[in-house]
Amino acid sequence: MNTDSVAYTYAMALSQIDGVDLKKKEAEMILVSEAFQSPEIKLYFDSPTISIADKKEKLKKAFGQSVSKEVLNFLFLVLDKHRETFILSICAGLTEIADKEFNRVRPYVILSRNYPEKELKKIISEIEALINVHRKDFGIENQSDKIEFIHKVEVQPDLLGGIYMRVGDYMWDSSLSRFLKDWKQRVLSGAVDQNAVIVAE
Amino acid sequence: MKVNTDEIVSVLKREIAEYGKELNVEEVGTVLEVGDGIARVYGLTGVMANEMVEFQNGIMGLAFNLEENSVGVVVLGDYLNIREGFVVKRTQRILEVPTGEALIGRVVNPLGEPLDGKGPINTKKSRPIEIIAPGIAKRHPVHEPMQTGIKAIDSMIPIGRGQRELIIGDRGTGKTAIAIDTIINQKGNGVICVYVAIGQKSSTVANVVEKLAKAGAMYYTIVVSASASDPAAMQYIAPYSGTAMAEEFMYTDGKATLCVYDDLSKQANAYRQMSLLLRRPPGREAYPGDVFYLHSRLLERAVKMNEKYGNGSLTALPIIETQAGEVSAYIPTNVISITDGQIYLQPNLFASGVRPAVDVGISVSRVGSNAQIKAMKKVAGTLRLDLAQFRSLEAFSQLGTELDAATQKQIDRGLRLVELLKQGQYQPLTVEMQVVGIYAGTKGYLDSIPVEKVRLYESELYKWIEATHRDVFDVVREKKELPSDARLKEVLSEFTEFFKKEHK
Repeated sequence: MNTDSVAYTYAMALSQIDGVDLKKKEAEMILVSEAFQSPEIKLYFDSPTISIADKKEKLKKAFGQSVSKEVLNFLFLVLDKHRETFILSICAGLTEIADKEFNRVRPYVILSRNYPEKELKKIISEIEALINVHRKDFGIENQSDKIEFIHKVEVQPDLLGGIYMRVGDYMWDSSLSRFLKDWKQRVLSGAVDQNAVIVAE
Repeated sequence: MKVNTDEIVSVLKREIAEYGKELNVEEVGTVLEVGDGIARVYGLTGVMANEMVEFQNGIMGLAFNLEENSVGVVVLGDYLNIREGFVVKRTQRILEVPTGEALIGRVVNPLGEPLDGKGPINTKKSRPIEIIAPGIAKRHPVHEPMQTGIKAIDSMIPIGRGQRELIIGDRGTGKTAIAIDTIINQKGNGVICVYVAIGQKSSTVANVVEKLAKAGAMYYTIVVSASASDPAAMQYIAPYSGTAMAEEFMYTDGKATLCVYDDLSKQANAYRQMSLLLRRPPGREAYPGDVFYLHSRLLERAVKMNEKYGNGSLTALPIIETQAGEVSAYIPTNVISITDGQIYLQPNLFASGVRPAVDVGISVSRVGSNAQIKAMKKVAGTLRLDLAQFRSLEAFSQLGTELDAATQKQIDRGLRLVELLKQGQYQPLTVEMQVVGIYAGTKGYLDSIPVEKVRLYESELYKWIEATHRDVFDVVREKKELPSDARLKEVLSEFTEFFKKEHK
């Protein structure tokens, strides 16, 4: 995930606060980050003309009931340190930490067309089995514990056929479009005998 | 051409059947920001320094800055087509270029892609553009001459095969002309030449290519061009690419090669641009701290290999453009200290008609006479001395004072020698012609010839010897020795008398 080191440090600190379960902290931070995705709210909290006290007051009103005291205090600290612009990145960092902790993997799968639910399930289970077998190839450090999968599936007809999948910084592209591109490259570089396909007049 | 679709289908079927037998997981990253030819990429955790990466639209990049949270990638193409969020794929390959015979006679970009419209380059060979230069054990001291065909250089600043000789001077002093003449002079010598044009106008490069083609030099020459409109990264890698192309011939075939880098000041500028954009700390003249290493690791690849390693050689002729004769600037001093000598071109000599405008007083070749044939060694020693004496006396002559006969004689000799060393562009001379010409000058055969007729005397002398006394040239060419003084005296006296009668 894309988090810079400042945000990651804050996320790490939040994850290590005792008293609240990591999963709960993650869920609460996701709630906060969803609110911060609104441009108006972001503008309000990024504005240097509004005092920290006002910002804290608004935060308390908005999230006082829905998040734990620890998370609220953490948000206050972020405001005190003028790191409010990092809230979205902190949330992403916390998700990354939680993913590692709970051995979660988030495959991003692209298919060439829509499949009926039954077939899609089958594809997903095949993908899960593949990742499980090739954990090391996909950069998964934990080689033994059960993996919790969180799939994101998209359809892109440009793929022509096959599957494109990305897990973190690793990509597995078995699409037809990729195959054709590679094949074209091989023909152009002379790796495939051109005489086999081109007959001179 | 007729395309047989059935065949295509069958080949495709076979390829499909064999496809995906093994799991190919690739490491990727995501573009965070892009601008000015630099992309900042998140991910690519395992990427190597200088590894080629591929953006999702097929544009290649070079992993340049490996930072804690991101990778600074230099885009080797049109960066305007790259957007935030693009996937960047590792290729697991250090940047390499196609090499081999197929490149000879071609004009290519620093990635080895053709620019001359003569179709694809059919070669399966490739080499990484950056390698560690061979160590001492593989080298042989420079001993064979790399004839430039230019009298002033071959006689007084001799270049050997495997040497690095800097050509330095202001703009418009004839730096490129010397390099081009040297390439043209390699005709029939079996030397493979690579001309690397960095940051030049495309029209200038086209002009050079035309000149080389006209002289028949493209049959053994590769032109690598990263023009002024190409990204800084292309200009930065161009000399390394050219060197890799030459190295293929040197290491694999044991051939002698010549690389001209025209010019390294523009490469340093391109590197400075990239470094500043990547936020590397600027140093003197805003160049990054490792700008010395930029040139030293390139020029260290110039080598004369020993017999055990194929006897090949790579001679480097880097060119540096100075601003208003400022040789003490950062890049000129760096390259002067790296190379084995420099040919210094003076704008005032050029303006006064001394062409090539080589300042023989401050130009040096640290390899010295090791890279000269015996005959040239004998005649060139006196030449340097005569010219040095002439330069010291020249100032007196300008004062208008009356001079004694001996001094006047030395000045007259000097004037004729300076005239003798003038040479037209694209007119390289063979070593035997140079030896005989310089011998005539230093032994006083020109003393009785008017200064304005010295060049005519010279050109007619060569024709005359070629037609009537070939043995003189043959001895120098084949035995590399000077013919006996008696024989030379006989031939030169006879011709001088004949010339004087003809041109009264």
